This record gives sequence, structure tokens and C-alpha cells, in this order.
Amino acid sequence: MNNITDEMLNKYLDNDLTSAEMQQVKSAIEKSTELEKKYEALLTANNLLKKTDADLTSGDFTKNLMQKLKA
Amino acid sequence: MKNLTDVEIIESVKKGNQADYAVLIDRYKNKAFTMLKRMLKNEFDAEEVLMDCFLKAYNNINNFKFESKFSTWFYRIVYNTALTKLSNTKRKIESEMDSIDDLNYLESKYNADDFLKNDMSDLVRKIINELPVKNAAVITMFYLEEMNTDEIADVLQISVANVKVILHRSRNLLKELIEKRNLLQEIL
Repeated sequence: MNNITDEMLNKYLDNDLTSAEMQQVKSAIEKSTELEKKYEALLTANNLLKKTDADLTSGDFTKNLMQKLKA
Repeated sequence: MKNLTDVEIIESVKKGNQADYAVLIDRYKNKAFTMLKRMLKNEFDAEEVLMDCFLKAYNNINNFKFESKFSTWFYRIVYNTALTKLSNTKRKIESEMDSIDDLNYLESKYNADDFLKNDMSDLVRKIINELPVKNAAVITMFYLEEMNTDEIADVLQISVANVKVILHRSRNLLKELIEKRNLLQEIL
């Protein structure tokens, strides 16, 4: 396909490459449908991870903790 | 009070305004709880350890010299307290077995079919909850707390390069499953 590794795709996503490398990956994605699909899957993974909400502590957590501090 | 920065709240707490610490608790409790739940794989332990972390932070607040962000300092307490908790339980054995290279068991546990049958967000949540300890910590700090890799490295006391490796491998695990799902969708 090309010499673009998963590592490079991750760094491309994070804007963590030199400008020349960024251009190289961008151009490779544009030329290869296979690589484009791979990058889109990585983007989907990234977006799903971003959308994952925090779990909530029990409702009286802060109140109980502040009582412990006062004790 | 809720609009104050962490630094302003800590300065106020240091002056003796104990009640202001509640603002800091409310600001960090859910995200830190999420990280602990993912690391300890147990909701009850996570809340117990979180309480311990906030007490430790409060008791040591005078040692916080504003040299780093409060979040970095606090998450170091959270991460280390979680490791101590794990070392005191049988889960230590399991966590030691989970190296950052060993995500294959998760990839084989879940398949493309799961992504077709289940809600994607629910499945991602399940997978994150089963990640090895360090991966779970990195993913939570990066995506939920929006900390950068330098800050995460500072919390975990590992190199930035290592943080990136852990982050990329965790992401790649999901990517592989999504790729397989997409392929399956094309076939169907």
C-alpha cells in the first residue's frame, strides 16, 4: 500500500509530525483508498473516545468527604 | 466561587477556608472516579480510594507549591494510590500480567460483530473498562481530563514517548475493531 505505519497515522492525527511528514501522510491518504479507510477508522476511534462521558460518584460524595475533613 | 481557578481555591483553602475545598472536589471527583473505576475495575473500591485521595491532597495542600498544575499533582496522588490499592489485592497479579503490549486478548474478545449488534459508545465504554491499568489511566487523562502527553508523563513518571506508545496502542485496538466492522458492513 505504502510505507505509512499506524504509528505515523496516530501522530498525523495528533499533529505530532514535522510539516514534511504531515504532507507525506496527507498525500498518501489522498492517493490510497485503503489508507483512507484506515485513517477514517482511527478518526472514528478517536471521536468515540472523546465522546465517552465520566462516571458519576454517589450523590452525597462531597458532603461525606467534607464531614470527614471536619471530623 | 465556581468560576475561581484551582490556584485561587487552593490559596483560599491554605488560608483556612476549608469549605472552599468542596469546589475543588466537585471539579475533579467524577473524572478522577472514572479513572479509578477503570484502573481498579470496581466501583466501590474506586469511590473509597477517591475519598482517600482527596483527604491526602487536603492534608498535604501546604506542600503544593504551584510548581505544576493542581490537576497533575492530584492525578499523581490518584494514580499512585490506585497502584497501592492494587498491590494490596489479588488484582496485582492480573495487572502485572497486563503489559502494554498485551491488548490482543481484548481484540480477540470483541469482534466486528459486536460493533454491529451493540451501540458503539456502549461497546467502547466496555472495552475501556477492560484496558490494562496504565492504558486505562492514560486514556482517561488524555480524553476526559484533556491533559497533554507531557502532563500525563509527569503523573505516571514515565517518558513522553512511552505515554504516546500507550495512547496509540489503545487507540489502535479500537481502530482495528472498527476497520473489521466496516469491512463486515461492506460484505453484508
